[in-house]
Amino acid sequence: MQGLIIIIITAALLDNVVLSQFLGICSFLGVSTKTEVALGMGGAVVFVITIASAVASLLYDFVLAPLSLGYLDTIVFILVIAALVQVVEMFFKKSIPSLYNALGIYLPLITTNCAVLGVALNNVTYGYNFIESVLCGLGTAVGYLVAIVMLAAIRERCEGCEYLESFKGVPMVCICAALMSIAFFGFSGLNI
Amino acid sequence: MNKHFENPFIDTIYNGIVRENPTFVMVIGMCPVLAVTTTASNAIGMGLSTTAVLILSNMIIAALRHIIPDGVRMPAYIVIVATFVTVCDFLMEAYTPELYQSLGVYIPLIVVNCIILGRAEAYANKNTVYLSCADGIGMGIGFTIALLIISSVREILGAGEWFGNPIYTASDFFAPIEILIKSPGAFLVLAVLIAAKNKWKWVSDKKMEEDAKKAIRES
Amino acid sequence: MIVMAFNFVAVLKATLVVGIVGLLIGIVLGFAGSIFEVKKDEKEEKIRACLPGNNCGGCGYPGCDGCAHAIFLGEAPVNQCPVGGPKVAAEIAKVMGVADVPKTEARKAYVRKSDCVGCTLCEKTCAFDSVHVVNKKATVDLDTCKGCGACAAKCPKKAIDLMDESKARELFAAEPKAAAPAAEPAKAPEAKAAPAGEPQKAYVHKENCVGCTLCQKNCPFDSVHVENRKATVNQETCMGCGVCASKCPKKTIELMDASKAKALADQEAAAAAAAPAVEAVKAEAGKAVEAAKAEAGKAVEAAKAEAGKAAEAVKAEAAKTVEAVKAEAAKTVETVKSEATEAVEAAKVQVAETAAKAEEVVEEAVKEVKMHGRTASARPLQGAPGKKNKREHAKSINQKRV
Repeated sequence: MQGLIIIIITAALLDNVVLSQFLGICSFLGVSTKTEVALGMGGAVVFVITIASAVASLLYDFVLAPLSLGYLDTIVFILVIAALVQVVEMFFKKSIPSLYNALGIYLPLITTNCAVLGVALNNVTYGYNFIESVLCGLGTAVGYLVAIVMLAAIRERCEGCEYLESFKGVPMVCICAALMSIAFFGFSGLNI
Repeated sequence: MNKHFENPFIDTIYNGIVRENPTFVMVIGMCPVLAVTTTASNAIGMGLSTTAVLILSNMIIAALRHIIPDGVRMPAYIVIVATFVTVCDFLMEAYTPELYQSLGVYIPLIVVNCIILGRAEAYANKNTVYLSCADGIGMGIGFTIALLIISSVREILGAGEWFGNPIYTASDFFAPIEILIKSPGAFLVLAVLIAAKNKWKWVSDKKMEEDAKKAIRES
Repeated sequence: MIVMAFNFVAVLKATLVVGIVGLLIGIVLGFAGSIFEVKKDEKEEKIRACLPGNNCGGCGYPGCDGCAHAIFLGEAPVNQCPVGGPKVAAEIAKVMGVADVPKTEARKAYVRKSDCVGCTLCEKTCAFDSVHVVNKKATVDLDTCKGCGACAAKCPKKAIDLMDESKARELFAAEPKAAAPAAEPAKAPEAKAAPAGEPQKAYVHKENCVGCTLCQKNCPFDSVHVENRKATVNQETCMGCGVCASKCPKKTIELMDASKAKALADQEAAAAAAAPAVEAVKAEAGKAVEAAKAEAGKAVEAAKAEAGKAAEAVKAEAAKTVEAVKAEAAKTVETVKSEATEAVEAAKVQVAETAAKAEEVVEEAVKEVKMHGRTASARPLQGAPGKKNKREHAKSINQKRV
């Protein structure tokens, strides 16, 4: 049990997917303009990454590894993730329209998000079983949610401030992200 | 910064390197930029492999653009790119094992690099194989140059080396700034470089405006 | 040949696996597409089919589905998709049944009068003097308009659209008839709909204002000023553009009818005017307080003096008592000292006697040890003592009894 908790907390805080592993930066810099939008994007990412790591782990353990086709993981994972996101989007549109209105528009953006494929491949590298893969995926996505919501809040506050003209836009966001990254270093002292 | 060339091939290459540089101007494909620029050799390795995949996939997609049906466009592109990336992965594992070890999981992540899918969508499925090849070369070289600049800054100021060769020794005057090698350093260096590019663009745009106004006044 | 055969098998396996996965995905997507189908109008489906489908968001709508929906409802023009360009626009025009959009059409700006509040930002921005605000509504002169889009970008109500010249002239000609608000599709208005003719002004509810100065920084007409950490809107120069209200982080600026805003502002002014009277009252109160203080001071002085005298008397008595107690205590100490000394002497004598006794006992014990070869406290041998030991064992017990 303790090992599982350690996996979640490590994935979320210590090895934060955006601030330490640098996966999913494009959407991190692009979608974090308003806090509600960031919350929607983070929620969609949590959903997709958890399901994707579960499916990818099953596929690897029961199809690719027994046939010693481990090298096909990149192709198969990305195909499955793209299809999964499409099915989830269709399901939301039909059955849970309110959720679709909140998260649905971000779902196509997540297909090409490095974080999804990155987590699936990391699970293979670390050799996690099914439960551990799902928890690692969940922890990663929660870390992404925390980071993107924090950055959106900071950006909203920075809006009225005055700073150098050349730093407006991406450079200011990068500096905020750098400070957040330094802050997250503090988690490496966690004694779980 | 807005030079145009006569020859479309050269012009497309120049476009990718300067006018629409994927890292500094379009700000796409940022994941490897921040992750692998800890040393210059990693950066060159990543840049060249991305360039190779970009050129090949652009050419194949341009060749097949009339054949792939519209509904399965995205999955088809993804499969093509993923195939090339897997081949590249194997070649690196065999012929450059140290580079393979240090790049780790970022080699398969070339598949979802926004540059490759973005150019496939925006350029390769509308233009000929010849021009798509030029676009791949231009974007790839632009990406590699950007990676090289960022990694050089980080490695020289952060570790006192360049391509693994020590440049200077730590002294009372200047010691390597360790934070630049770690994660925050990537964001900081990127921020400063993009701000520098913005300032350059601002200055050159202003100059263009002034020249235009002068021309109007004189005409 | 053997090497070739081995490779062939691996290649076949890989191909089969990827092929089967792809096939399964295709089947699943196909089924999902039909099970989860949301019935849409056929026209909208056709429009959606014309769009590129990469969900870039460049049109300003959430993905290609959102754009198709907007075009279908008529909210967006047929050439809304910037990535698709004129080719896609022509196809959509065919589906919608409108006239084909010619490629060389000039773009002109057009103001949606229902959303215009007459803030004159567009008039100020136009570099070609093509926009004029008449009767609190902006109008674009279509002959001089260059279609640069600067007014559309500046309009805080997003009431100006860029469209093709023919459409703009069409709308312009239809204007006097399109007075009914039902002609416009229901957009979500940012400001409350103004009743005919009443201009809107901004008013700051001061109780929630924190003085962050965002409103002052963003007002294009310099009508908001922050003093003493509270913002005030100058009702005369306010143009009702609503930029301050949208920027306020506490959402404490409200756009309301000019008369209502004026009434509230007057209330504030009245409260401020009442301030001098308040000041006068304060001053009087202050004086009364001073007088009371002075009197109280005098009384305090008198009381202090009396208290001082009483304290002196008490001190003297206390001193006497202390002296008496000290003398008694000294006597007692002496007595105790002498008693203690006697007791100590007696104790010393006793100790000496006991020591002498103890010495005797020790000498005897030593004698015993020398005789028997073991100490008096040693345990007797295990088991039945031998004849010799029994005698010594009994002796030692007898001695203990003594």
